[in-house]
Amino acid sequence: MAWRPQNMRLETRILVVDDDDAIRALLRTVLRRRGFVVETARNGIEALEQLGASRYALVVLDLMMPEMNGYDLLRNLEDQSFTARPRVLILTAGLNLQPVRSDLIVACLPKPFDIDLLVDTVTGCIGATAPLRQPDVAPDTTLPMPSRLN
Amino acid sequence: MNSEPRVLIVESNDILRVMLFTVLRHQPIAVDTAASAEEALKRATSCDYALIVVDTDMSEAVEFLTRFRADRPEATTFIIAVRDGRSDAFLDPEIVSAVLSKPLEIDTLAELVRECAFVVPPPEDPLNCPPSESELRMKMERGPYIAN
Repeated sequence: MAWRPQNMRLETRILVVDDDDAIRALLRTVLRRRGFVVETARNGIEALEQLGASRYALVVLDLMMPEMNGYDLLRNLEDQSFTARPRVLILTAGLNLQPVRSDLIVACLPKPFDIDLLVDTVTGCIGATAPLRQPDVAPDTTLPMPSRLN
Repeated sequence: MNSEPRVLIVESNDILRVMLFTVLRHQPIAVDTAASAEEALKRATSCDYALIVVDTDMSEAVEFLTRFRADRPEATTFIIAVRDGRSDAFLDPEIVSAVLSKPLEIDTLAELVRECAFVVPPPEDPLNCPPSESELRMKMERGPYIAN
C-alpha cells in the first residue's frame, strides 16, 4: 500500500457530463449517496469551463451530446499531461464508436448502464487513479507540550 | 390537472409491488402500479409517465417496453429496468435508460425516483389521465368530506 499522510485525503470530486437531465439527476443521486462530491455539465462546453475552474478525480462522460460532444471534449484533454488531466469514464449508447485514445479513458460502460456496476466502477477508478489533494489545513507541526515537567 | 410527476411501477411480484407503492406514495409524486405487461401497456399508453420502473425479469416486460416506445415515440419517459443482478440479457439503450440490480436498496430507489421524476421534461401535449392510485388511496384514507 502506498504511503499516505494521515491529513491528506483522496479527491472525490466527480464531474458528470450528460445532456439527459434524468441521467444527470440519477448519477448525482447515486454517487452522492456513496459520499462523492458530484457536479454536472450538460455538454462539452460546460464541462470544459468546469474543468478549468476545479479539479476532478473523475469525469463521467456521455459521448453523444449537442453543442460539444464527448469526442471533442476528449480532444481538448489530449494536450494536458497525464497527471494533470482527469480520468474519464465513458458512458455510451452508440454502437459505432469512433476510435478514442486509450490513455484518455479508464473505462467504458454501455448504456443502459447498471447503476450498481457504474457506482462500483467509479469507486474503483477513484481509488486507483485519484491524485492526492493538498490538505485543507496545514499540518500541526508543533510538539505537544508535556503536561508535567520533571 | 395534477402537476406532480407521475410514476408507473411494473412488477408482477405482489409483495414487491405493494412495498414499492407504499414507499413511493409518500413522495411528492403520483404513483400507479401494474402487475402485468398488458396492464402496464394499457396504463402507459393512456397516461404520461415521467418515469417507469419495470421488472424486466417479468414475463413480456421487454415486449411491453418495445411496444410502448413504438406506440408513443413522443414520450419523454425515463425508464429504469430492475432485474436479477446475474442477468446479462441485452437491453436496448433506445428503450431503457438505466438498470438497477436486485435485491433493491429501497431508500436508494425511492430517492432515485424522486430525483429523476422531477427533471424529466413534461410532454408538449399531455394526455388527460385519470387520478393516480396514490391520489385515490390518499382520498380514501382521508375519508369523505362532510360539510357541517
